[in-house]
Amino acid sequence: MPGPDHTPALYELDAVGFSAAGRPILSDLSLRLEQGRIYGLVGPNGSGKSTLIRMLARQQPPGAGRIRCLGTEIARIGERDFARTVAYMPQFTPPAEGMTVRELVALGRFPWHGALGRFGAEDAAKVAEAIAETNLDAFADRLVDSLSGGERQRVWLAMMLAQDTRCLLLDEPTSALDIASQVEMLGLVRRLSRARGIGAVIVLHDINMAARVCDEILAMRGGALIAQGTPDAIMTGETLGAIYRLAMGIVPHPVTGDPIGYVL
Amino acid sequence: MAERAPMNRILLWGGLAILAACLSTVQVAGHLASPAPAGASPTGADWLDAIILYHSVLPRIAVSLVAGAALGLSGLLLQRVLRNPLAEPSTLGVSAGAQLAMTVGLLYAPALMDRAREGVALAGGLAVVGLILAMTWRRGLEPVAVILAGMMVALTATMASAALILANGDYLFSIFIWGGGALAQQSWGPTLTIALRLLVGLAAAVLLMRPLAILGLDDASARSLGVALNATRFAVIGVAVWLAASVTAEVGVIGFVGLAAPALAHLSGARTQSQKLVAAPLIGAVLLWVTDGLVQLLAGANGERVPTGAATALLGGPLLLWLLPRLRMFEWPSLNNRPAPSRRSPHPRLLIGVIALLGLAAAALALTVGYGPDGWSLATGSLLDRLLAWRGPRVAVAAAAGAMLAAAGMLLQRITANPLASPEILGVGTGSGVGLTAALFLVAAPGIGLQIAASAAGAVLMLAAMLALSLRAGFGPERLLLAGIAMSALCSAVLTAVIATGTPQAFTLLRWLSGSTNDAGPADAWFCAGAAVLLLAALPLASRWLEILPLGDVTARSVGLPVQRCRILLVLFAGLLTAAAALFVGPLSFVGLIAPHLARLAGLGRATEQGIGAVLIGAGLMVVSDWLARTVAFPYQLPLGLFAALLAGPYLIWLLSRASPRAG
Repeated sequence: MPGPDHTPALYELDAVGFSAAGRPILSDLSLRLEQGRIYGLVGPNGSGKSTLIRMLARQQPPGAGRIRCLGTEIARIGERDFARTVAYMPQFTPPAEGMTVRELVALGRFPWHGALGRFGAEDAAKVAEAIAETNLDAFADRLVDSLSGGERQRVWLAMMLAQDTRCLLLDEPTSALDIASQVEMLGLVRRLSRARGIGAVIVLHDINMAARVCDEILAMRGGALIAQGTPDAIMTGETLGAIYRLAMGIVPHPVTGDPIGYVL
Repeated sequence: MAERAPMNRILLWGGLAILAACLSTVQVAGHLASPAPAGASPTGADWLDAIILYHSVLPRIAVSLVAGAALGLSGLLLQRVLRNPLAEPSTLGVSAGAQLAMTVGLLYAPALMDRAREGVALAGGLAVVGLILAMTWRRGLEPVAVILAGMMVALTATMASAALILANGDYLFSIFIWGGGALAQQSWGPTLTIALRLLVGLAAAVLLMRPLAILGLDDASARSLGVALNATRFAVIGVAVWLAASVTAEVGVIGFVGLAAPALAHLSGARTQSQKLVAAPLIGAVLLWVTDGLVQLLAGANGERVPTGAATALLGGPLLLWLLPRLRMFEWPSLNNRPAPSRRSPHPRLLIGVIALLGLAAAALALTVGYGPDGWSLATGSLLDRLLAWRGPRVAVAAAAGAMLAAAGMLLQRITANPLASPEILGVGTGSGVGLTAALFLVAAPGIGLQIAASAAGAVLMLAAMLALSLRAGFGPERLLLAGIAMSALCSAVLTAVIATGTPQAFTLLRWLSGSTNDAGPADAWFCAGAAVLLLAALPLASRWLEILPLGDVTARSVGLPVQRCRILLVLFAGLLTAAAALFVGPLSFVGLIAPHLARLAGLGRATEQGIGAVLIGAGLMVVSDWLARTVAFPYQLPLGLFAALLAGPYLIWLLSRASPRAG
């Protein structure tokens, strides 16, 4: 439990590095992510975004440095305890052969009831809540494989919500979705993060989409963090140019006035 | 490092070729040993040596080269045309079909065999391939369905051959050895025959190169590029079957080369179609050449009993296992199309009840109905009481073994998220056989406890090896299956080698291989049933793990499952189940593969439901198979696995062909 006047950071990274086959992928990365905020992780392909989020999700141990989650070194947290704190959606979700939506979402309760514990009333309530919050009520008894890409992505989000964590980690959750589904998916993440007061780290390719939904943007290039700040601070032609090595400009959104990046 | 890899592989093959050449030189030198002193006329012994050299030693070297090359080419063509990395003469049942046709021919039409040996073999091979294609045509020759059908048909043919051999006793024991592929030669005839076929096959392959390259794409693209799809496909399959059948006719069943040579060619860096067309036959030739050299070297003075065809796996298996993890870019997209998702039954409990009733009916049938010298009889009253002492243990053993195999298959399919995983295919059954062999040879008369411990150790070791391989990064389902088949071939080679020694232990093993509950007494029944009850009762405890594991490691870890620990526990469990069952019914029953699929396709999707359904189906299937095995050819006892495959196989294929492929 966080102390009265001092809340531990959601994540603290201290000189984290990683290399594969002798090639450095991440080097000397230190940063601090606060609780309850939405972070967008952007950068060109091969910049180390996916590696970073996989480390945060503990899918990959860091090659160097330390990662702390809510004040504890992540390697020292038990499997189920960690899964009660952090939920992760990989870039490619596996086929859920022969499973209905409700069954898949219910798997999110595993960290709470374990292999042998009873699936109790609270578990059932959390599952129902997650399904309702992601507007999946109509599909609850359909097979996951029979849904469209956008609906399937919502099912996996519902499973993460049923996990009832302090933080969501999403690796390119919109890469295979059409624009309407992208807006819907990210809007859902933002709304639920606000309503539940939980943090989120989202890897995104679309810088404008990131600026729309995130509180803060982390820009990576070549395995290093090259810019960090609010969307307004990042969305300048100069910064975008540095991130993507591409001449870019900014125009204000005709309705909201938010900055929109474009390629010159 | 990456640039040096192909060089290393070229060195590897060059080294193997040199080794083979050295071995051959030793053999040739053995017959040239004493140069006649100048002026002296050659003695009788020298003449004999010269005759042996020209009519036996040299043809043997040549035949190993051409047969290996022919099989390599055949495997390459089949894999290409079926877009299936596991297709080859053995997995498609060509060799088994040819062998069955020749065994039947030898028994019932020896005159025909004398005149048209190759024709008989070809007819058998073509019949089997035709059957498999017909069964899977509606599935668009989907790789998983083709391999399932192929292995089922191949197993059935092998079992039928084994049954004929067993029924005819020692008279045909030599066929078993021939079945293992013996390369001993008396003339140049077979070499020339195979070489001619090889040349024709190569010429055809070169002519068909362009259509073949396009056939590697999907059907729609191939058709839109203007390829006469079916004509090309049948032509290529025909050539491949002809090559394999003629090799089988001339030198017997040589397994594994057809699978390993193209895979090894690919792993050694042959990328384009023409590179593979050169590399696969060459690698096949080297593989068989080295193996045969080693077999002759090891056979030494005792005369040779180990068939070369069986021994190829001893060399090629480890080679394939060593190369498999060393290459990226080895995933075929094809196997990722899983079997189409099945519908889910709205009333799973009702369905399980129906399956249970059917199982009980099967048990009642097996206990009461028999076939004797006076024809069919229904045992009731006091007769039934007396017969129960005989039939009861058999039925109990069959049911318990079937249930355990089905459970093991379900576990493995869920742990590996692979629809083709099963104790039979991952080599767990044959692994337990190797354990059993060790016990039989190391201890004079091993008790049942030692036997089961030894076979369990073999099974668990095998599974652990498979799992260690599959845990390496990027080890996809195809690699796991290839590794499993390699391991399985390796263990079968050990078993065949032991059986070929003809000792009393060998006959015990042959009986074990063919799977028979004939000798099952009350002690066996209690033991088997007890093991089944104990192990199966623990299964529901793992149902949540089994629900999550098919979604893959990433998902499992992110919901807090201790993935490694679960895997190790479940693998141990599957190993124990397989070993306990295989000890009584042999390794080749196929129930472990089929029963979980039947349960799933019948509409039981969740882990617990599928598990219960699979266990009941497995038990029922095995009881009916056992009943058929003892009645159909009375007074002979046919192999149990034959009927398990015959009963469930066609139904499985029908179910697979009925389910529509997944859209999108």
